[in-house]
Amino acid sequence: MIKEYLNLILKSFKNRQLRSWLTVLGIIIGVTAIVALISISQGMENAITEQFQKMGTDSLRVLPPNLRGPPAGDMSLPAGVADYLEKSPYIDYIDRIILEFATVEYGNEEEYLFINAYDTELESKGFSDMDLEIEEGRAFKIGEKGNAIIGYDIAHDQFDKAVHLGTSIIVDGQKFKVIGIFEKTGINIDDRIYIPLDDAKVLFDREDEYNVIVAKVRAGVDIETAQENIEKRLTRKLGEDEFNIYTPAQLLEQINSILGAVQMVLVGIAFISLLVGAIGIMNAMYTSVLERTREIGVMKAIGARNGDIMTLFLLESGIMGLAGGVVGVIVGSIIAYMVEVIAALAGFSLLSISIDYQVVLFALAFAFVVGIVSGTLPAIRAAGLKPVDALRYE
Amino acid sequence: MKKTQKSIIKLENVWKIYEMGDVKVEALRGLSLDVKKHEFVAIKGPSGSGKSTAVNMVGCLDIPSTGKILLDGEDISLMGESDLAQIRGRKIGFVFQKFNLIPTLTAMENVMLPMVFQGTTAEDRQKRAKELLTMVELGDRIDHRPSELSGGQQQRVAIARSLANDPEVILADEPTGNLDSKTGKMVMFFLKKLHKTGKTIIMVTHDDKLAKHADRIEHLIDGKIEQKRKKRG
Repeated sequence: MIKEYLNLILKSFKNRQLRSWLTVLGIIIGVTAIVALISISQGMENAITEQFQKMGTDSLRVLPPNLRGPPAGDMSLPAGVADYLEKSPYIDYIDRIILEFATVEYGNEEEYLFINAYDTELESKGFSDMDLEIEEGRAFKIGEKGNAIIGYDIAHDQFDKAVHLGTSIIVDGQKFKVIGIFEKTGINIDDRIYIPLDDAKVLFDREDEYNVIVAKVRAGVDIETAQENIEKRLTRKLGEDEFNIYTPAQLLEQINSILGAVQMVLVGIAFISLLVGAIGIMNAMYTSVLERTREIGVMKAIGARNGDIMTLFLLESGIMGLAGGVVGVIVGSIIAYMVEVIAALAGFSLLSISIDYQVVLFALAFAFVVGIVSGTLPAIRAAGLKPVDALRYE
Repeated sequence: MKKTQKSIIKLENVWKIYEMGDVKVEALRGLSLDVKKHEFVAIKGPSGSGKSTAVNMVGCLDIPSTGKILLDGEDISLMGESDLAQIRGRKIGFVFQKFNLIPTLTAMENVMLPMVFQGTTAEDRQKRAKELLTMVELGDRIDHRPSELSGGQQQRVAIARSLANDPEVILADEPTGNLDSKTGKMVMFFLKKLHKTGKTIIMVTHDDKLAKHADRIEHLIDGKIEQKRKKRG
């Protein structure tokens, strides 16, 4: 039975192809948006999770309060935090970080770049915590001064002439010799210049004024216990709202919740498009019922029950929705993959899109249901037509 | 021609009154008609005589305001719309003036459609539809759409469709009204052929020449049958 209905429906679509596609455009756009947005934000979530795993799972991050977005050097922690953390029994060692934008000269060019100061006391400990590998050259030695390690893109793309090991760059007027180049990471580290902390303190006039402190928790200590205790005692010492201390899991949660909110807004917009699509289908189905009134009359005369007509029209609108869904899934997937390619070209190579089959199934089922729901009223009207009246319709 | 006394469609004092605002239109005013099995009855009447309404009643497409319609002994006014559709699909085959084929379907699919609604299996449907189209001499046109067929051919497809569920009654409403006289004759030839195979034929027409083919002619005037009868069968 269903097979015959499908045949009838598909032939009727064929008869008004362009109009049918225009009708489902709203559904196509809505489903495209949903599939693309969900896939992209899932990709972003994965990328962020991956980046956090790179930062190490046994390090606490102490950040200035009221930070909106990642630390950028414009806000710093109050004095004394570093000293306190260093003495804390929970902490193995700390990494004091100074971030600063500075002018960087190389050859005849001058750029404004992100400088990341690194405590040479840690030798390469901190780099390995971050899963950072040096591709060319070497890491800092303890107490080393006047040298720099640069990110992959700084070395290869930033300046017209590639920056080689042994050449010098000038940061805020002071000369640094390039002793190492990081491998490509796909994240912001590629665009940074690392200089020794002692140099940065003098260069940027910062004594005990750090932007971020990463505190490595001692082996065998529960990271959450460490975080709670340090937070309590440091608050007693410095007062409320002077700093924030996060475990990697908390940071991840925070970022994902922001991402989730953005996602909700975008999906909300996609649903509005679906609603418009649904109204379009309803309108098209009413037109279709009107146009085929005579056909409905004939079918009833030759034995179609009300339920047959109802099923026929519901299936028709359901298929419209489903067709829109299929096209939407395809276009949405293409867009998501394009975003991945564009992100990689822009240097954010961690974003890796995979289209979740659950998202696809949900989108298709949803589009089908939207079609059926919007076809319900027109189908009821079609089923309720009296054969005599329908046959008389011109 | 073999005749039995059993009625297949019987209308008893049928009134149909349409209310249009405050105006009441009495389309049928006590129509009584008894069609026996295997009869060929012509219903003739001028326009405005209630012919269309009578066709709807005889074809069980509508229910009377008062009076009774018995289809094979069953009172149709007591049936639900869907039951009525099923019985109509099984017992009555329609041949309309305007052919009324589904334009998007092929000749074959049009003929199979009434069987779809009766739940006939695909295999049986195809076999029967082919047989019927061959009978109306359209065996080589089964995959053509109505728009690819001439008027006479379309009407023959419609005749084949009316026979799909092997109904007892064929109700033909001005079956040659949209055809030239030559193709009209061909359609009449097939209707007579069906009558010979034992079908009951009810034909509504305003054309004297066509009506003469029938065993019996009933004249419809002012919503009821005139009590004068020609050529009793």
